[in-house]
Amino acid sequence: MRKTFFILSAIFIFFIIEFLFFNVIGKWFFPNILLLLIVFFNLLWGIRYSIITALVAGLIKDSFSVNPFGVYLFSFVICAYMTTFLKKTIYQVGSRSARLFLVCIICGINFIAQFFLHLVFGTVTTIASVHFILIPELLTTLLITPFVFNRLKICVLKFYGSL
Amino acid sequence: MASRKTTKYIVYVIILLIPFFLFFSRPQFFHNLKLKIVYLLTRPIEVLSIPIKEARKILYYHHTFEEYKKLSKEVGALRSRLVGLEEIVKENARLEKLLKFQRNSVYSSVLAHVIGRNPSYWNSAIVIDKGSLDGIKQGYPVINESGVIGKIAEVGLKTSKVILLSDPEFSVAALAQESREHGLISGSLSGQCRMRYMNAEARIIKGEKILTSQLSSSFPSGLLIGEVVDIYESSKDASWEGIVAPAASLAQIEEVLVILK
Repeated sequence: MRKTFFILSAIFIFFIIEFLFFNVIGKWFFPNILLLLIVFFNLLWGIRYSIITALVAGLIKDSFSVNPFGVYLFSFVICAYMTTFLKKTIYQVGSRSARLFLVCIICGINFIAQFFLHLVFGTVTTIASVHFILIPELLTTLLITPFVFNRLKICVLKFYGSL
Repeated sequence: MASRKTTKYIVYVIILLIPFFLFFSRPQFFHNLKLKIVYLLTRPIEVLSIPIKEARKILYYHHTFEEYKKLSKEVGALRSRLVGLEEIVKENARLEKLLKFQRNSVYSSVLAHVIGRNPSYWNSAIVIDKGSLDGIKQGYPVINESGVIGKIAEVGLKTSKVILLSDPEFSVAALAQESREHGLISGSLSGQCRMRYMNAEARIIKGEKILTSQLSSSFPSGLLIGEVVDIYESSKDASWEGIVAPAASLAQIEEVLVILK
């Protein structure tokens, strides 16, 4: 229960940060920090908590979006599952580069899932999506990954005493 | 043990499938739920936005002061022009009465403040602090003093979502002011607006103003959308396309007007 409360608080804070960050800086620097949260909780506490994060974060993102309901929910849940799968195959515990590589792949999976759902409406093009969404999102998310993971680690240590 | 594992996998598959079905079925329940979530989260966002807005005001102080000086000069010049125009307006009113002319009705509108932009690369949308309690309905046009901003996408009781002109999902029938060419304005992922489906013999020039057309079902005609910055031949069919720079600065909107029908 304490873990769930911690996750819900983290999602709420991260969403507010993401929202205010986007409104101040705009699309130039807009990392997907909720996705980082999904990956972090999966690495830390496993798939169950990662799915809770994905469902709540997806619900909030979908609520603010003008897309049909379910786009973020679906892509985030897929990311939670894929993190579990990749954790067992390519991830090495304690390796910073492996963590970055994992985030990089999850970002790509999130983009592909959302791209296909947007393609249902036929309003997005592949080149524009890669150019204006995948590349900036990937670069900015990777750039802040070490910082966000460190901060989250410190928070968890403060609340629970151990990882 | 094996059956427990199977149940676990079944639960995981169901969790994955639920959002997928939600996406295609679009039940009304979730429409209301998401608007309630937006309403609940707007309060902390509004409170936390106050120091950010104040900090921005201080940062842009010099720019604002320069603009104030420029506008003061413009107001002075316009006032002097108005002296002569007042007489013409009065004369016009007399002649209208004489000819029993009907004036175009002025649209009634609602002033709304922008709570924030939807944080997403895929869409361009804003959340405003007025909803169905203020008479707003889905599809209503949203403008500001510079021109068209977008239209209402979703309405809650006290908040609404506005899909911006630059969103790939947005489209409106448009008209070039000088050449009278019709086309369709739509947004794109790059944030630029495109005017498409123009006649192959279209004589549109760069800098021409683009207005909303009478063909539009959701927008009143004659509202300024922007001006043409580039024209090129369509790669898909025998028509011309143009890049249109929106008249309103979509990145810095603070107040908007929602036109009520």
